[in-house]
Amino acid sequence: MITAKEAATALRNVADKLAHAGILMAEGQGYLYEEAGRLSKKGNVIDWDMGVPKDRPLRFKAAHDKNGEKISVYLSAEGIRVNQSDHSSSPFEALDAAIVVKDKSEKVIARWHIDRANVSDEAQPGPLFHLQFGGHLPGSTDPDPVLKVPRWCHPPLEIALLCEVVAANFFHNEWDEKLRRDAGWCKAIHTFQRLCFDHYFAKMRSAVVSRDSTALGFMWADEWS
Amino acid sequence: MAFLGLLIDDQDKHLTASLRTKEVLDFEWLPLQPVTKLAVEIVKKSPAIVALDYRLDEAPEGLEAEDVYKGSALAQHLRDGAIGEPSSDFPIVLVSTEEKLEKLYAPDKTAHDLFDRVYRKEVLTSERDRIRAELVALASGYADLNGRNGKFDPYDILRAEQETEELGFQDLTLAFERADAPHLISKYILKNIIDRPGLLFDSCDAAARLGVTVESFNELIPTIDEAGVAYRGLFSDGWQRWWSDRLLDWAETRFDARPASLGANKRSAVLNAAIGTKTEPARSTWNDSDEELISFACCCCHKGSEVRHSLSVFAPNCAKFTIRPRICWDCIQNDRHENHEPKIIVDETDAELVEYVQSKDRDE
Repeated sequence: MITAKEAATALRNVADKLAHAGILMAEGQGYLYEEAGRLSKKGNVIDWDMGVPKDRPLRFKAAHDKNGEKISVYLSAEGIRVNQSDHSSSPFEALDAAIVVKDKSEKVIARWHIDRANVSDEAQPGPLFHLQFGGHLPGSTDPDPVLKVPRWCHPPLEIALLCEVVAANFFHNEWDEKLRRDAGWCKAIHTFQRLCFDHYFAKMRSAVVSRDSTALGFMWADEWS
Repeated sequence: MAFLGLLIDDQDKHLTASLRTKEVLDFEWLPLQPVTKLAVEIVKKSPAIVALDYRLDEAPEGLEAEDVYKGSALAQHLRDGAIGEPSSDFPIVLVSTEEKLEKLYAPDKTAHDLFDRVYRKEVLTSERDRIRAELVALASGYADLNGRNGKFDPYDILRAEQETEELGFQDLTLAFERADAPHLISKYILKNIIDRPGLLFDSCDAAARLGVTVESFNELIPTIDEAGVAYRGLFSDGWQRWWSDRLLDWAETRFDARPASLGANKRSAVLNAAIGTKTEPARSTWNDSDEELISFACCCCHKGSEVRHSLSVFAPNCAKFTIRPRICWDCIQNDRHENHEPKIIVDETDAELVEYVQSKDRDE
C-alpha cells in the first residue's frame, strides 16, 4: 500500500526530475510541489486524494508536431481519490484525468481522457478503467466529440504515470537520455506503478484465465464490485 | 608589453615568481596599508590582475590592530570601485594556504562572489602551467571587457554564431544587460558557462558524449577543432572548452544517431572507422563495461559515466541552461563524495538511494 507521504515524496521527485530534464514548465513543477506538500501532511494514511485542476493544468515545454509546428501539451486530473482499505477492490474510488494537446493558436487538436467509470445502477458502459479519445471535460467549452467510443480497456494512470506518458512520447530524447534509466526517477514511478497496476493486473490475470467471459468482459465496469 | 599583476600578501612575497608568465604577465608585490589607502594605490597602478591572500591579518607589519583586515574586505572595496569605473576593472584572485578554505570560501558564502578564482598556494608549483594560463586569460579577458564601455553583447563576447548557438536564455540575456562592470560578466561566465556543462563542455564531458576516454578525446581534438567546435570566446585561452550543440551535431552526423543512444564501444568504433583514429571506448566506472550509454562526466571523479549508475547532485543557484551534475555509483560506494572538496551532496530526490548503492553488489 502507498501512504500519502510516500506518494508525496515520489510526486515531488517526479516534478523535480521532469523540470531538470527540461520537460515540465516551472509553474507545473511548482504546482506539483504544492500538491506533494499537501499530501505529505496527511502522513501515513492510505486513503487520500490528489489532482490537477483543469483551470490550472500542468503545462509542459513546447513540443512539435510532425510538421515542425509548435504544440502545447497539458495534463489535468480533476479528481483522483485513493482508498486502499479494501484489498479486494481497486485502490481508485475516482479517477478522471486528461491529456490535451493544443496548436500554436491554443486550439484543442487532441484530447485523451483516462478515467474510472461511474459504477451505479446504470453503469456507464465500458471497462471500469478506460482510455478514451476525446471524452467530455466537465465545464469545458470545447465541443464534445460526437463519438464517445471506443473506450479502450486500460490500466489506471495517475498524474506521475501520465507525466511519463507525455515525456516519453512528446519529449522522447529527453526522457530516453535523462529519465528512463535514472534510478531516482524509476523509484518514484515504481511507487505509482504499484498503486495503479498491482490490483488491476491481478484482476486482468484472472480475466485471462477465466472461461466464463472474455478478458474485456471481465474488466467491464459492471464486473467490478 | 606585459600585463601588470599585483600581489597583496603579508607573508609570501616570493609568490610573484610562481604567478608570472615571462613577457606576458609580470607580478609586483605591494606591502600592506590600511584598506582604503591600499585600494587607491592598487587602482592607480591600473593592474591587469590582482592576487590576494585571504589572511592578510597574520603578519600585518606597519598596520595598527584596528586597521587589520582580511583579503575579502580589500576585494569588496575594489569591486565597489569598479562599479563606478567599469572600464578600469580587473580580475581578483584569491591565493591562500588556508586549510579550511572551502568553509571560508564556498559557493554560498558572501566572499565567494568577490573573486574570479581561488588558488591554493600548495599547488602553484605543481599546477603552474594551468594556473599561469588561467591568470593570463583572466587578464586579457578583462582587457577585452574594459574596452566595451559597459556594453556587453553575449554573442560577441562568447564568439558565438547567431545561427548555431542559442543564447536567448533569459537568465543569460538579463545578466549581460544588467552588468554594471566587467567583473559581473566574468563572474557569470565563469560560474555558468566555463565551470558548468551546458553551453560548453570541458574535455571530460566532451569525451563522455563521444563515448571515449579523455585520453582518446585528445586524439580527436584536431578534427573537431577543424570542424569549428572549439570555443574561442572570453577566457578560452585559460579554459579549453567546446560548444556543446556543435559537438553533439558533429557527433550525430558521424554516428547517424543521437550519441547517447549508442553504447560507448559503438561510438568509439564509428569514430575510428570514420576518422582513422585509435580511440578507446569509455568504460563504466561501475561495471567496467564499454557497452554502457556513457553520456556525462561524473562531477567527482570526472570519468565518463552512465545515467543508470549515477545519482543527481545538489546544485543550487544554477542557470537553467546548465546541466545538473551527477555522481557515479562508484564514487558513492567509495565515499568519494564525502571526501571531495567541496563536499558533494546528493540531491534530495536521490538521497534515499545512497544506502542502496553503497550496499549494492556490482552484478550488472
